[in-house]
Amino acid sequence: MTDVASSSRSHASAVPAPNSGAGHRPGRGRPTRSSGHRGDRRGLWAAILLAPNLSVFTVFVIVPALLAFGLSFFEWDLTSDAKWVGLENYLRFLGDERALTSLRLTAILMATTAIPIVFLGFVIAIGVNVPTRWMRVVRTLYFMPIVISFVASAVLWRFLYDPTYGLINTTLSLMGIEGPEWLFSPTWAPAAVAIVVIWLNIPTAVIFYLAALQQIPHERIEAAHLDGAGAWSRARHILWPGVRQQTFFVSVVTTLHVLYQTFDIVSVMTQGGPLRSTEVFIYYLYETAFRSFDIGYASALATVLFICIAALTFLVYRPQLKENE
Amino acid sequence: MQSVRQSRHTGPRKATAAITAALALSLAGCGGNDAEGGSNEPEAGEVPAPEEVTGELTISVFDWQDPVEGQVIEAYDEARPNLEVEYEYVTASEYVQLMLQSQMADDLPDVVATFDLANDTFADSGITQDLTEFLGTDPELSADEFAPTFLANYEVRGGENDGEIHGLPRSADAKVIYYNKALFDEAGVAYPTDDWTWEDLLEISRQLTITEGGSTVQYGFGANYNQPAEWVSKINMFGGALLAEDGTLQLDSPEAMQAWHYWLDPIQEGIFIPPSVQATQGGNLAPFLNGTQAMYSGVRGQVPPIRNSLGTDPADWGVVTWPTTDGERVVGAGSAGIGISATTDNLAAAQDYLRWYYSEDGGMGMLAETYAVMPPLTSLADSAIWRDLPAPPENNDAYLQAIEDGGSYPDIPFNNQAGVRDVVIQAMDEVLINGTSIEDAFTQANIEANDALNDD
Repeated sequence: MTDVASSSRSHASAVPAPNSGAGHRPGRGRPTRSSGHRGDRRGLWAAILLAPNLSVFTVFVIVPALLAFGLSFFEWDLTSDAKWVGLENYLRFLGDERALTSLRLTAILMATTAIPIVFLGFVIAIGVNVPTRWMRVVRTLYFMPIVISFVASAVLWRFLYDPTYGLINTTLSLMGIEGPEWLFSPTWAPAAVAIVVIWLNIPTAVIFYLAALQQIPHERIEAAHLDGAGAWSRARHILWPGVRQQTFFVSVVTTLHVLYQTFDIVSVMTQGGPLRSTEVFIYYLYETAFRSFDIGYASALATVLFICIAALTFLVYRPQLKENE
Repeated sequence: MQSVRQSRHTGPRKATAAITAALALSLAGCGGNDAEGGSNEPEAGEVPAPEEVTGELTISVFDWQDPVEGQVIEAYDEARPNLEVEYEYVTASEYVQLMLQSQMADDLPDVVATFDLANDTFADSGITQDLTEFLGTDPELSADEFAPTFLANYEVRGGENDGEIHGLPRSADAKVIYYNKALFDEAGVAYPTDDWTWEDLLEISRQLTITEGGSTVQYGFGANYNQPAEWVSKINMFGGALLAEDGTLQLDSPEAMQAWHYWLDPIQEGIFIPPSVQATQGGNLAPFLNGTQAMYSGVRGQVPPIRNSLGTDPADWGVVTWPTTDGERVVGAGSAGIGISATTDNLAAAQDYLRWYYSEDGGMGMLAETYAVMPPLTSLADSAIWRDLPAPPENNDAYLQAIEDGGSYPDIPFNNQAGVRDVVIQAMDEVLINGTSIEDAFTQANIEANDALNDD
């Protein structure tokens, strides 16, 4: 108990409370024995409150993830005994043109959707941050996609993309433009999927940006306005830097969303076609695991996906981590 | 007594049922044990009386069989006063995976839904048990009663279970051609007859295809082109086989090439509805139901939606056999089925259920009454349970002819079937979207498919 308390004390003295400035004033933030006990109790409460969620997370995420990693070294089709194959599944991935193409396609989809999501989310958030009479209605309309399931959205968009009777091509034809065969053209199908992904993710970005914009002191914006800064200048020099942390967060969240949401969208809208032009990595992984029952190889693909996500998250967060240091 | 319980879940709940039953019995103070009630090990060749069938019986059912199969099970439960029946609808698209998981967890239902393409996998994995002895000795249900083509699809080919029967077909689904009489009448085209040829079908399709402003608004014909049964049957019809004796695929054989031309040339000509248009309209059957396609290759199971959409007057639509090609006719065929799990602890009740299920005044009568099931028993070929249903369809002989002409799917391992199908669909897309020649697309497809087969 003493060790824990002393450890807690030394930790408390080493790390200043955020924005308190205590780290610069030795003595004022000095821990007492009672604060050490309070820290213990808070730690205990934290553990108690976290335990249910952590247990569920461990059982349903961490353990299966570890098992999947273990399975990636086996050949197993669910029906016969698993056979140890070492790194063979990983070597197979390196030579699997279909897997590499799907990974490439996923990367392209992430790049082409994450940037518009961040940019449009920011712009729309600025737009709906203006307090006017009808703004609640406008905000509700913008947030609508967030309450619609991915599958329902995909079904809806499939109708919109119908080359003959769909709303999009009908509208285009009124303007004298012959719309493409959206979901049946290897050229247009990836774009069609990307549009749906962007549409689905913009509300999340708007919510975060809106919350961040409302934290920026109004006086600062007003002062810039009085100093002659136009809308573009205010957005560029005050608002955009003011939401930088949200931009990091939105980038990570939307990137992860793109990775997983595309499964539902692709599954309903294109099934990876035409000509595998929309076969994203997660869809290929599913096909490998649950249609071909190639569980070992699919586990290796899942491990590769995990490594990609971890690396991507680290890359996106790295500037912020450095800044915090 | 209404003891039947239904649930909609992704896995059987036999353990829950057992616990519930055990609790119920102990509370009732009877202390009996159904598992030891003498009903588990049936005597070969003996048929128990309805009240002698006791214990619990769990059944898995495909979700697409809702609600008919549930009604059948509930009727069976009514007929067995001392049996507690529980059934569960299981998502068809995840069915094999869920059954394999249930088998590993030792949690299989007593009676399992199955299908021909998964038969060998279910047998080899220890999910289903051999029914050969039961069918050979039972006084009421015999293997000889089933349509041979359909029963053969439940006979294991190769491996340690070679020759064993691990399931029974639920319905004899073989391809016939449905046609929309109103569209024929509008075009002034005579209805097809059972002696027609493929050339006749192509010519009629041309007459029934309507183009307006550069777009086709009505097609002559369509089918489920992605369904292996459709194209494998045509490879067979031209004298080929999808699988060579050495186990390699022959997607590029001369006979296979004839089959690909058979299907794809009319699509390219614009008289058969393309797969892309089917997809936008909600599936391969939808264009026929909504009147943008005059003829459709379908099975008996699709009669209910056709009656719902096109009408219940014999003047609305008709059915005819597939046309012949050079005097030959092989049609796509397949079936969902029913089997007994290898781990059942109430074999007597499971066998009793099969007997009742296939009886004219039991399950088969109820199923046939819905129009959705073509009895797979030759003994019911002339039965009033399906022949005397109000028309349409009128030409019931077309279904019997289709059973005669039904082809079977080659013995491709289950985990490769999706891959082979996928490669064929990609090749079709190459032809229809990229304009690649059929020869080039399917030569390449054959290399890919065999590579995938060798990988596994």
